[in-house]
Amino acid sequence: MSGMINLIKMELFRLVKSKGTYLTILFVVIFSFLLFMMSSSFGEQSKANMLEEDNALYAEITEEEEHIKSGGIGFVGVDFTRDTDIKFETIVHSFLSSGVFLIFCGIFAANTVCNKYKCGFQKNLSTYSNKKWQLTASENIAVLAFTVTEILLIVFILLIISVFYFENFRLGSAANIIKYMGMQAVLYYAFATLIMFIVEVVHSKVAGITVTCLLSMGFGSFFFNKLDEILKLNNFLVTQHTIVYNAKMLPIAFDGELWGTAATVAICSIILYNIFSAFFVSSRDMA
Amino acid sequence: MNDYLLQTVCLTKIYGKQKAVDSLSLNVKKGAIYGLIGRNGAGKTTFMKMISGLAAPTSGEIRLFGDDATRVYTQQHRVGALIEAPGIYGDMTAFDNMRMKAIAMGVYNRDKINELLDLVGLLETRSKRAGKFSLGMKQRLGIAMSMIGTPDMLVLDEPINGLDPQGIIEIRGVIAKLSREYGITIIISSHILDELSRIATHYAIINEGRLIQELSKEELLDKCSECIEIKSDSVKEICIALEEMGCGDYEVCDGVTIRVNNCCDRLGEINMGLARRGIVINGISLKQESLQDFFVNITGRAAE
Repeated sequence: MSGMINLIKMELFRLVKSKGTYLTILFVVIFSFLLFMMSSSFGEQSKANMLEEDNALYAEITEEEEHIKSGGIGFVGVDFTRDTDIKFETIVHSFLSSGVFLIFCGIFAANTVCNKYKCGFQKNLSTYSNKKWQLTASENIAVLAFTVTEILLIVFILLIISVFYFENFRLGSAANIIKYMGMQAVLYYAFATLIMFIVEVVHSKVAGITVTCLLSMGFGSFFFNKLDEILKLNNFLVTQHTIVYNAKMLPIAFDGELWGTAATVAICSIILYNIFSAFFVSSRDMA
Repeated sequence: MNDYLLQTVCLTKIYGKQKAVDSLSLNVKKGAIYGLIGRNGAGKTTFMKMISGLAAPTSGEIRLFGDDATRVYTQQHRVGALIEAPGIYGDMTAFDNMRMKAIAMGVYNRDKINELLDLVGLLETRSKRAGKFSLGMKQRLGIAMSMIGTPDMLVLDEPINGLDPQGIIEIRGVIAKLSREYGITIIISSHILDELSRIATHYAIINEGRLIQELSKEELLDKCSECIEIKSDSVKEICIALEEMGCGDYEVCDGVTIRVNNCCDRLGEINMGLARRGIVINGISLKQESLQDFFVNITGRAAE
């Protein structure tokens, strides 16, 4: 057990000392800000259009939002202006469910796994040659730490911007926000374990990042929709039991069924992908 | 009491259809500097990976520090290794790379790390990013990292690769010091055989994954012994003359060269004797077979 603790300490040290960590965080900050500005820009434009054509455009926006949420290209699904009467919890929900920030999670996970092989540092860890699964497990802790940091950072930046941007800032339910952040952190982490598994198998950062982008942007839904058409299972759609779908469709207010499904998908994914990763790592030589 | 720190019994490693190491059995004594000699692709690195725990053998046994073969993993922490290129993070400093490994092994100590960096001459550059290091500096950092945890045995795979002459001298000094002052047993491979011959106390010659010969430095010196080399077109007459002079330990090479393995202190006498018999020779000299020549000869015979 002490070996595992040492490895976790090592991975957390690597997390703190790695340039990749700070670059990814920087991009998260920049993207959060940019997306907020884009949403407000779309909002301003929509408001100007709505002054001319009222209900029709509003209906279009609603349909657009549903399309985006179900797996279309992942921009945030809500636009606003300074005087929009919108709660902060809606902003949090829109941003975290957009799928965009999953990309950074996946990139960080791919980077973490691949860098170790690329530079050959695992050759220094031969003392763990009969416990290689611990190497995978310790990396997970670092990725989890990054995921939680990312979620906290996104919400913090949105909060700061929102307080200054909106004329009538309303928080909404802090409890909902916190619970939602926790659930999304689990889903984001589950996504990261999938990417880590892919990179462990193919030892390719490019593959990991490509899959990250494609899945985050919703391309996986085309495949799973086709699969559902073929399988035609009663009362069960594979599409609705994927990580990305649940991350995008999770409502901010607690819903037993939806949250239960999301939690089950996330936990099962985390367990399965970690087992698969540990299996692949254990069956291979370290160098 | 078993004096062998490492014993391998019929160690084999197969990658697909390729047998990289083939039933290799050798013994490494405590305190030795054990040189592995072999061509590219002979199986040296694969063998070193197995004894360092980085690759699992396909079959065979590894016994470390006299322990049972089934418990080899319990002794892995006593083996430090530098296999191929050093495994270091380029965007971390030398100190942080060392610190990472030390944390992983649960032996982090700032002073000890500084001591190791000083040993390899990197103390002044410990805060420099490892990615900016020259090849020689990276090799030295790799050696320092292999020393973390105070191992009893070091496995160094071509540690002087890519070093300039000054760097080679420095590393040679470090290796000698590790053996002399720290009492560490070292297994080292190198293509630069003359360098190896300066520090190794024992040798194993590996070819096509198999152990060809295992010998001590004294035995090697004996085999790479002096000889008198005579070049002449009158080989037959010279052979008869040598027999008459009591120098019967000779061999004829390539039809015009004779190597006389004994009577090396009678070169002048042999020269006079041949002249008196009217035998024309093209050259006579005292030669010593180098490690290089010995290796080429022996692997050439093994390949046959």
